[in-house]
Amino acid sequence: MEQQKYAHLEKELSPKTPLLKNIVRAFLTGGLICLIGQFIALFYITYFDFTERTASNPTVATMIFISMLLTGFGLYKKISQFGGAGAAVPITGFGNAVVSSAIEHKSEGYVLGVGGNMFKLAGSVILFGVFSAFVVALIKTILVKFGVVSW
Amino acid sequence: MKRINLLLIVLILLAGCSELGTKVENNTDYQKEQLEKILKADDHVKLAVALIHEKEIIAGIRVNTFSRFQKKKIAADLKKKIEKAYPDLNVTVSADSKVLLETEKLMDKKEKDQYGKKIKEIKSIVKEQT
Repeated sequence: MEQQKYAHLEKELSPKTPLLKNIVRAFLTGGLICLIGQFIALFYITYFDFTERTASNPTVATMIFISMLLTGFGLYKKISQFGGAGAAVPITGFGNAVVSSAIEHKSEGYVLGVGGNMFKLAGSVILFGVFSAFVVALIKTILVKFGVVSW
Repeated sequence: MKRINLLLIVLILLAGCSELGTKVENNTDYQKEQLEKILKADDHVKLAVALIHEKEIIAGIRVNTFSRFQKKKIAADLKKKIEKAYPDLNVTVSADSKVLLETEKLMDKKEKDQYGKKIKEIKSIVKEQT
């Protein structure tokens, strides 16, 4: 069978992606995760000596901790299946990627299994995260130099 | 059930509409009207809480949502204006909600002798970088 023919056939047979439904679900799930994060940030601001700016670090740590627990208990899988990108894009998705690959490779031993494969998925997140942070910082530096925004 | 949900949603949405007003507390002989005027004149400022105590002015402001990108600049501008109006006082202006919160908490307290210590604490929190 020719390649084009196969592609055509596959397109015909595979079920259609419910794009709008997926988008709405991702929006709701991502929004809910961010809402919880905002509540945690507010908690740190209200009850500890954190400002709006400094509260972000403990908030991120708490969110990752929660997602790691959920992953361990097998609940984050269900959230991801419902929310799709809405559950994968926030920082909780990063925690999920780290812990799930760590659990998956536990049978291969702690050093070469868990240690070597823990950042299999998350490694690319770190790489492109650092790179995009660099690009964003570059853009912001230029904007500040032109006086559009302040630091 | 549906009606109760609807009512809850409306209530939650409306809860955002209750706003505190701008208030200024003064424990000194300095005039507070000028400070009030400066804070109210700025269009970006949604609400402000300010305190004049001994040699210190501390003001927490909340800026409008779409001015948030500029909030540091707005706070710096306000600080300059207030410093001009009160040349012999130490002025701290911040758009961080922590300052607003703590200043408001301080005003509600009745022990005036603790004010100086608390103000120093707030100022040190604002300076923190990490």
